[in-house]
Amino acid sequence: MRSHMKFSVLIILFLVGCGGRLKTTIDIDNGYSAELVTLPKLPELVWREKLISPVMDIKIANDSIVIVFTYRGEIFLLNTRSGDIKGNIWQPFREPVAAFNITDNYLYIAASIDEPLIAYDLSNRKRRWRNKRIQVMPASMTIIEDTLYVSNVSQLLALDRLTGSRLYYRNIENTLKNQLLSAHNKLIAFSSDGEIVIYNTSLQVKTKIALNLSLSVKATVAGGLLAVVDGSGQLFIIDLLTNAIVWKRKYESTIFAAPTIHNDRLIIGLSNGTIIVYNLNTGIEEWRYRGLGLINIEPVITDNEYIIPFSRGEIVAVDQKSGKIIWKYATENVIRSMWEVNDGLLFIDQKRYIHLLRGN
Amino acid sequence: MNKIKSTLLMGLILPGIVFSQFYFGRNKIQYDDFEWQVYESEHFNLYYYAGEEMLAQAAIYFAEQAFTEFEQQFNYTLNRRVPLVIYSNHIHFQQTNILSSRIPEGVGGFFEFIKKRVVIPYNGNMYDFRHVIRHELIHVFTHAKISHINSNIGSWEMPQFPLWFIEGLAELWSTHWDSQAEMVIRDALLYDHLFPLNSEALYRAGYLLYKEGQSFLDYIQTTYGADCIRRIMEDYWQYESIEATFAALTNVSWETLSMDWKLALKKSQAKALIHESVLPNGNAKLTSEGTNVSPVEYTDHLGKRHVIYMSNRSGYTDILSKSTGSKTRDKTIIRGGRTAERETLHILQSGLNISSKGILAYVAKSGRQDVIHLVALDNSEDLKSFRHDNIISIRSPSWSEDGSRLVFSAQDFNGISDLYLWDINEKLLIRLTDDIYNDSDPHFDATDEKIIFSSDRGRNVLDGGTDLFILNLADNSLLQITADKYKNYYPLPSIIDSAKYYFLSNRTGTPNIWSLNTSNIDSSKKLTIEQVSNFHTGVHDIAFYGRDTLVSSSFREYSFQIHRLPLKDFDPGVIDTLTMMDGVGGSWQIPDIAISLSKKKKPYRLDYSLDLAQTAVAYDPIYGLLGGAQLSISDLLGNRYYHFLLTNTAQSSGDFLSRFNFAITMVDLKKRSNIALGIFHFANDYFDPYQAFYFERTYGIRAGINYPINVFRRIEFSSSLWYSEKDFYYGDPQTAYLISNFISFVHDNSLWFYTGPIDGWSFRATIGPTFDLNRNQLHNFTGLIDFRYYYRFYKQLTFAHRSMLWVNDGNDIRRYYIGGSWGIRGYRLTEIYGRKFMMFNQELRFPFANSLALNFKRISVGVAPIRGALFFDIGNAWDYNRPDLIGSMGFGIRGIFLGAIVLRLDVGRKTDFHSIDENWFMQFFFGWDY
Repeated sequence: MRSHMKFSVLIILFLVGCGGRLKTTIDIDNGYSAELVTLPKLPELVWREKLISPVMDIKIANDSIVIVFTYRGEIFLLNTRSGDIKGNIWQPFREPVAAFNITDNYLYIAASIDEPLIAYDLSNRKRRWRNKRIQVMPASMTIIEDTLYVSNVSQLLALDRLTGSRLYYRNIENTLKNQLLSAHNKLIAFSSDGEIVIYNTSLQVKTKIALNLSLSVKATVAGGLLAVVDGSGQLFIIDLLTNAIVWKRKYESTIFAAPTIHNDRLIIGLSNGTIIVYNLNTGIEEWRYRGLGLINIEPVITDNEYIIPFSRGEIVAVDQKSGKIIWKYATENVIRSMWEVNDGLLFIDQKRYIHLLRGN
Repeated sequence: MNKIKSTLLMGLILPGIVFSQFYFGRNKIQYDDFEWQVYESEHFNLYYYAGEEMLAQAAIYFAEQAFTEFEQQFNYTLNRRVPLVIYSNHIHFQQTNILSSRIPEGVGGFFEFIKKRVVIPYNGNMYDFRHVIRHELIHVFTHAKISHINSNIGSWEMPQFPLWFIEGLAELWSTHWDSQAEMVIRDALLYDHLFPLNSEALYRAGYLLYKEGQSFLDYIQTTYGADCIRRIMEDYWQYESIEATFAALTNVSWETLSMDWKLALKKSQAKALIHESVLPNGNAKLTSEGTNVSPVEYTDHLGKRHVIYMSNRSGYTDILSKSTGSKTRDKTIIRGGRTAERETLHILQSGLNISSKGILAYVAKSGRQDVIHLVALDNSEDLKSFRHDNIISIRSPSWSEDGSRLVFSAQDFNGISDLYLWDINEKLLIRLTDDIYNDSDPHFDATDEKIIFSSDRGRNVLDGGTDLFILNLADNSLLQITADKYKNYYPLPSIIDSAKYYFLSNRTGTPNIWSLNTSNIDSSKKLTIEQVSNFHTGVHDIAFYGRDTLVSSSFREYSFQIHRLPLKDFDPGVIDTLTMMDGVGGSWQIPDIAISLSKKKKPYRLDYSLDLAQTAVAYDPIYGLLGGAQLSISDLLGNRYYHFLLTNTAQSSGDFLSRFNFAITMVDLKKRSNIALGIFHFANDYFDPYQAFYFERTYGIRAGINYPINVFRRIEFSSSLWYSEKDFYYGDPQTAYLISNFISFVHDNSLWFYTGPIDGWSFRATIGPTFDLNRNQLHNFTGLIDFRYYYRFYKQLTFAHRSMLWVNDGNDIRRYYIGGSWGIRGYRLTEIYGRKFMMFNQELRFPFANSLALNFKRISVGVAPIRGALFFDIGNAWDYNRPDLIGSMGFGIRGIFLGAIVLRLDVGRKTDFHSIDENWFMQFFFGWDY
C-alpha cells in the first residue's frame, strides 16, 4: 500500500514538474552575448553532468544561465557555473521542438508534429498567444523588428510577434529548405530548386539567385555578405547589396557545419575534418588544418583562438592567424554540440553528458 | 562474383529456410578449434585466428578506410569499436556460433544487431571481401544513426525503414553498379517483374530487393544528390512514413518518384535493346524450372548426346542429364544435399567438367572441406575422390585433353585462392600459383601444355574486374592476354582452332560471350576481340556442344536457364582491339598497416554480455529441451552461453522462499561435441488426470552432450541426478533420489517449404531409464521412435508420413497426450493419452492459394502462402491393454501469418474404423506440419 502511495506521489510530482509552464522566472539579458575572451592554455573540466534527455539546442539567457531545449520537448534552465538544473523541467509539448526564437523575453516555440506555434513571455511565465493554423514541421523562424517570420514546407508567414496575428502570407511552390535568415530588412530563404530567394518584409520576392544548392544548406550573414554552404560541398559568398557572387569554391567533401564569419575571415569546416580559413573579401586561403573525424559543429571564436570540435572527440584550439595548434583536449565520447558561454566552453557528448571546460 | 552469385542462389531457391538444432534439424558442426586473436585498431576490434594474418591486415585496411568514408557519408561518428569477426573461408564461417541457426551457402556475411557484430568470410576474392566489409559496415552506420535519432526522439510511432532501403543503401554506398545488378534489373523490366518497392512480392524476391533498392536510391542520389539520402535518415521522424519523407524532401509525390525511376530505367533499357537481342525460346531453351547452370556435353556409349548440368529445381541441388535427342524427362545422376558425402554441390559457384573418357568431375562439400568426385557417366560408378589436408574449398575442376590431370582453383585453410593441378595417375598435387590474387575458371588448352584462366592480378586497382591469362606449364611463365577496365572471365578454348578462345566479358553492360584469337596478335601487340552474343540480360557460363554450338546458362525471368546456341546464329558483333602485355601488368597490393598486427593483438578471452539468443543441446522426452530459451549471456564469439531462469510460484508470503524456481545452464558450443551443464530447483503445483493435483519439488544437476556425426545425424546424451518430493496433499510426501539417462539418435535431411517439410526423411530414436537410488529399483523407462518420410510426387505435391511409438513403464509413469492438431486430429488434446501410444499420420500436401490478405492503408495483414492437405490419422494411447485404433480424416489448410507463424485449420470426421462420425470437426491451431 505504501508503495502504491509512493508511486502516486511520484506520478503527481512528475505531472506537476513537467506541466504546462516554466515555474522559474528567467532573467533574460537582451544585450547579453557570451564572450569567451581567450583560452590560451589547455582548459580544465569544471563539471560534467548527465542530462535527462538528449539536447537539441541551447540558448544563452545571461552570464550564468542557459535555456536547454531537448528532443523530448523539455525546456529547463541550466546554471553554467555549477551544472545544476535551476527550477523545474517544463515540457510544453512532449514532442521535439521544431524551431524556437527568443527575443525580448518572448519565447517563440514550435513543436514538431501536430502542436501549434506558441509565444511565451518568459518574464512573467505566461503564454501570450498560440497559432494553431500553422503547420510547423519542419520549420524555421527569424525576427525582423516586431515581425516573426516562420517558414515550413509550403508556407511563409509573417506574424505580429506580440499578438500572433497574421500580417502576410505566402504559399511557396518550391519547398523551402530549413533555414530562414534575416539581414538588412530582407528575408533570406532557400528553395528546393537550389535557389536563394530574397523577400522583403511584406514577403514579396525581390530577388532569386540560382545556385543549384543541395538539400542541406547552411548560411551565415555578416557585414552585408551572405556565406552559403551545402551538402554537395559548395561554398558561395554573396554580396547582399548587389546579389552578386563575390567568390565561390567547390570541395570534394561535404560541408555539414555552417560557415562562420569572424571579422574579415571566413571559417569553413569540411566533413573530412579540414578547417579552412579564407579572407572573406578576397577568397584567398590563409591556412588550413586537418583533424580527426568530422566537422559538423561550428567553431567557437575567442579573441585569439578558433576552437574546433571534431566529432571523434577532440577539441583543438588553433591560432587565428597562423592555424598553429595551441592545445588539444581529448574527450571520451563523440561530440554532438558545443557552445561558448561566459564561463568557458560548454559541450555535449553522445552519451548525454554536458561538460564545462574553463581556462586555468 | 561468387558472393553475388551466392546471394542470387539464396534468392532463387527457398527464402527463409533455416534449420535449428532442436528436436529435429540439421547440425552445425565445429570441425575446427580456432585459436582466436583480437586486434584493436582505431575503430575496430578484429577477431581472427591463426593463419589469417594477411586477411586480418586487409580487413583492417578496408574497414578503417570505409569507416572514414562512411563517417562523412552518414554525418555520423560511431562511439565504440565495431567487433569485426573474419573467417578465412565460407566453410569456417558456417561454423560460427554468433548465429545459432545454420548459415546457408548464399550468405556472404552478416551484421548481428543485438551485439552489433559484423561477421564476414573470405571467399578468395579480395574485391568481394572489401565489398562485404563495406556492405555490413553501412548496416552498422545505418543502424547506429537511426537508433541514435530514435533514442533522441524517444517515440515509438516513428516510421520504420523498409528492407529495400536498408539493403539498397548498403549496396549503393558499398560498391558500384555492376553488370550483375544491370542484368537483374534488365531482366526484371524485360520479363515484367520489377516489383513496386513496398510490395510483399519484392520482400520475397531476395536478391532483387537489394538491387531494386540500390537502383531506386541511385536514381534519387543522381537526381537529388547524396544529400537527399542522408536527409531521409535524419528527417524521417518528422513524417508519417519513409515514402512521405522522400516526397517532402524531393518535393515530388512518392507515386511520381516511383514512376520517374521506372521511366528512367525503361529509357535506358530501350536504348540498349535497339542493338541487343533476347534469349531464344523453343528448342533452344533446354530447361525452364529452377536455376540451371554449368552445362557440359556428354556423348554416351550408344552415341546419344546429353547435356549434363546442375539444377536446384527440386529444392536440393542435383546434377542432371538431359538427353537432347529425345523428350524423356531429365535424369538425376548425382543427388546433392541429402548425404554427408555430398552436403552441397556449390551451385552457381563451381562448375562441372567431363573428360574425353566420359568421367564427370564435380565438387561437393563433405565435412570440413570440399572434395572432387570422379564419376564414370556410362555406369554411374564412383571412381575416385580427392581431398587434400591443405585445401578447404575447391571450384570448377577442368580436365586435360588426355584425361590424366585436373586443374582447379582452390582456397587453402588460410583463405588464399590459387590454381592447383592434380595428376591423377601420379597421385600428385601441384600448386600452380601462390599469391593473394584470385585465379579462377582454369582450362587446359588443346595441347595440354598451357592453362588459360581469369584473375584479378595485373590490374593496379581492385575494381572487381578480371583479365585472362595463360600459364605455360613448361616454365611456369604467365602471359596476360587482356588488360582493360572490364571483367573478362570464364575462358573456354575453342575445339576447332587451338589459338582461339571464347570468354565472357561485361564490356557492353552485362556478361556476354566474346572471342579472341591469339594467332592474330600483330607486331604491335594488338589483339582483336570480337563480340559473339549480345543478349540483353546476360550469360553465366558456356561450354561446347559439338563443334559448332555452345550451351550456356543464361539469365531470364529471374533464374538461370540452359540454352543451346549455334554459333552460326550469331551476327558479327562489336570488334575491339586490346594491347597485350609483356608478361603481367603491375598488380594491386594491400598496403602494410602502420602498426603490425603483433604489437596490438592479444589472445581472445571470454567476455560475456547480455544476449537474447537461445540455444539447445539435447532433448529428452520428459524435460524437453536442455539448454533452454531464457535470457542469457554469451561471449562475443557465441561459443559459451549461460542461461538463467528465476521464477517464484508462491501463493502466500510464507511459501516465498520455498517456491523459487531457478535453473542455471552452461552451454558450450566451441567444439564439435556440444555440452551443457546445469543445476535446477523447481517447486510447482501440477495436475495429472490420474494423480489429480499435487505439489512436486525437484532439485538436482543435469548434463548433456550432443555429438554430430555429420550434418544430418547426431547422437544426444543427457543425464540428470535429482531429488524429487511429491505431495498429494494426503499422507506423507513421496521422496526419491533419481537418476535419468537418455540417449537419442537423430537423422534429418528433410527439405522444408514454408509450412513444413516436403522432401527427405527424419528419424529420432530415444531410450532412457530412470532409477530410484533410495529403493535401488527402476523408477521408470521411456522409449520413443519417431519416423517421418516425405515423398514428393511433383514440385510441391508431397506425401508425408509419420510413425510414432512411445512407451513409458515403471513406478512413476509419464503419460503422453496425442489428441489435437499436432497428433490425431479431431480429438481434444487430453482425449487420447496413456503411457504407451502408437500414431501413424498421412498427409497429401499441395499448394492451395498464394495469399489471403487484408490491405489497410499502410499495412497489409494476411496469411501467405497457403497450403492444403488431405490427411488420414490412425493411432491410440493406452496404459495396459491396447484399445482398438481410432482415427480421423479430412482436409486442412495452413498458412504463414505475419511471415513467421504457421496457422492451421483442419476439417474432417473421426472414425473408430467401424463407423465414421456423422459430425464434422473443425480444429484451429498453430505450428509447423510434422
